[in-house]
Amino acid sequence: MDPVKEAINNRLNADMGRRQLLKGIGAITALGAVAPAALIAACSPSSSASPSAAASSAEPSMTASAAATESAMASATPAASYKLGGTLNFIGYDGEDAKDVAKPFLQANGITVKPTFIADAFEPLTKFKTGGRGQLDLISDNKDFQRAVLAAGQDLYQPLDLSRIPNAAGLWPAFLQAPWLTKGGQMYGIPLIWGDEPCVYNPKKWPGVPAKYTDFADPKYKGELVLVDDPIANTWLWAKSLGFPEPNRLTQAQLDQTVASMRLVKPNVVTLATTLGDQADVLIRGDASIAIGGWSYQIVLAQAKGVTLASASPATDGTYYWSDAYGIALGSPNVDNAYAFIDYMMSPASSAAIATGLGSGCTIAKAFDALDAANQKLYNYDIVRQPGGILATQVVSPPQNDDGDIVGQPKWAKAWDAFKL
Amino acid sequence: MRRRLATLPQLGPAALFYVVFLALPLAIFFVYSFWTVSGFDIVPGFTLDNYLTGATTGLYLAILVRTVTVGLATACVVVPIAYVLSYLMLFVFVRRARLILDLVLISMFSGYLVRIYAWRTILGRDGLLNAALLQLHLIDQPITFLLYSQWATVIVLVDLLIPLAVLAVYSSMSNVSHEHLEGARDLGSSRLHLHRTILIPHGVTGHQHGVRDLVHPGCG
Repeated sequence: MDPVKEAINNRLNADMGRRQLLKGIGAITALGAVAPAALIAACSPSSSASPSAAASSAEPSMTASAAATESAMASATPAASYKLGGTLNFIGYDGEDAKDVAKPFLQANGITVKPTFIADAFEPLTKFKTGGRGQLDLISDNKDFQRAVLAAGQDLYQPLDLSRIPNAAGLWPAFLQAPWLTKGGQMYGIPLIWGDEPCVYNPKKWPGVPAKYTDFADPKYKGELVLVDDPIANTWLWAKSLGFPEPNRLTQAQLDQTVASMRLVKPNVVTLATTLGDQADVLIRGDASIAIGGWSYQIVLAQAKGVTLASASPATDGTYYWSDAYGIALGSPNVDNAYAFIDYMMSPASSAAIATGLGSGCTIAKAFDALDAANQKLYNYDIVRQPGGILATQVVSPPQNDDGDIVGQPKWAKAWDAFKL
Repeated sequence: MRRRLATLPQLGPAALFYVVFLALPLAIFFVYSFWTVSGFDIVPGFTLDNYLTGATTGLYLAILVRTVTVGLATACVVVPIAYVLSYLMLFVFVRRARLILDLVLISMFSGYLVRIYAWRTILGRDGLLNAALLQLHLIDQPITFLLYSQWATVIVLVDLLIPLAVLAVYSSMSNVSHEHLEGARDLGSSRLHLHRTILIPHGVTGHQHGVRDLVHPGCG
């Protein structure tokens, strides 16, 4: 096997369990140890997709040759020219601390990552503003949050010295000088992963998905739909379906109309999942057969449990795209560690490993060839092969505050609460 | 008085812990409740708008009512179960009491998330309950209302909170002596009378703790 691919495979095997835990799959894995699951397995042939089976096979140990390869890669980073070691304070999404993918680098340089995981995109800013300044190094967050923070002129990120992240030159064209991370000609973040939110469905039940999200109000979908408990994503999708030109910028009347349209679908919704992993679990158990605003990686998760799923976006409405990026906090006490870490994660091998481990698209062009066929097909890479494109222009989050007639995020959240009740 | 003063140093560490990790965060939370949010910024000040909004908006009141209902419903199920279990352990299966208590508490060794997913496995469309009912020909279509509903919320909360309630009620009820009960029985008390006049009043502290400790997480 190609040594790079072998190294990636081993890193992935180490990382897989983490991401599954992140997405709620860890709970299911643990469930394999409890009696009810065993009882189910014993008396219900339809539940042969044992949650523990796939997870337990995802933890092979690292081979000596792979470890040697990774050790060499770790020492090949530009870390030598800076004083590395000590702590790296990370705040961001679980899994994006890359604990396992970056393990060789961290060990080789004596760096210990102290992670703080977030459930909400605003948490890094809240922490920064409430005494966290000078205590944060590395931040991972999503593009709409980063765009909004930079546009609002909020102190959080420091401009990056790209000469200290040479691997970032290998980003796909859409991520080089990504507009949501650039201000005044300076970059404030380096994209780590990206993806979209298609509908994921059971092809044995459905030939595909309807052309519009509003079509899910058809009674034939009763008891078949699962959404994620996400006010912004769902409201945006339905606003798009209703044909509003800027689905993230709605007037109160448009927001009311959107929620009214969502209410027509509500009788068909089985539940609102807490995470995308939880949503996958509902599909895998057969409690629902279509996930709206889903995750292509749910197909891979289901496959590991013997369940076949497919993904598609409504032909007329499409879906939205996201990307998470690393940034360095203003006042970072371990800025050298942060730069070296980001550069290590931008190597093709690391990019492929983190993208596969997190079921996402890779942001480094050369990483694509190192992905296996299934992961290469998860996302449409034509989107990132050119500068600009939909990642640059599409905004999903509403404004923070009311902006003239346009309602801000608090009203979206309130409308979603009313929808849920 | 001198004895009370002498106990203060002993209470110190626990009191400090509660002040730092409970009272102080709650106080900060309380202060924040009078502030406002503008964009990305929290704006210090003093306004009662947050309370007014909570108290006058139908949506929030409906959420509050539903929340308290779920909490109370959970407590109404859990406390009687805890009472019966405690009674059985203390006065019926005395020699097996430890084993029963261990069996009740053993569920606390698993994470709450694991137990939630276990219930999903039991109550789901293709779950254990539906499989059993279908096999017994008691239903011809899977029951779906039990999962992803308020029923499911109460069922799972009951499962999660029974050990805590049993500890509280068992602890209070253990203050009732067997001699006390036997004396009452010798004087002609019926079983119902024993429960009404001795066991329930003695266990009332435990019930109060049980209800309070259950309604809070049930609402949470």
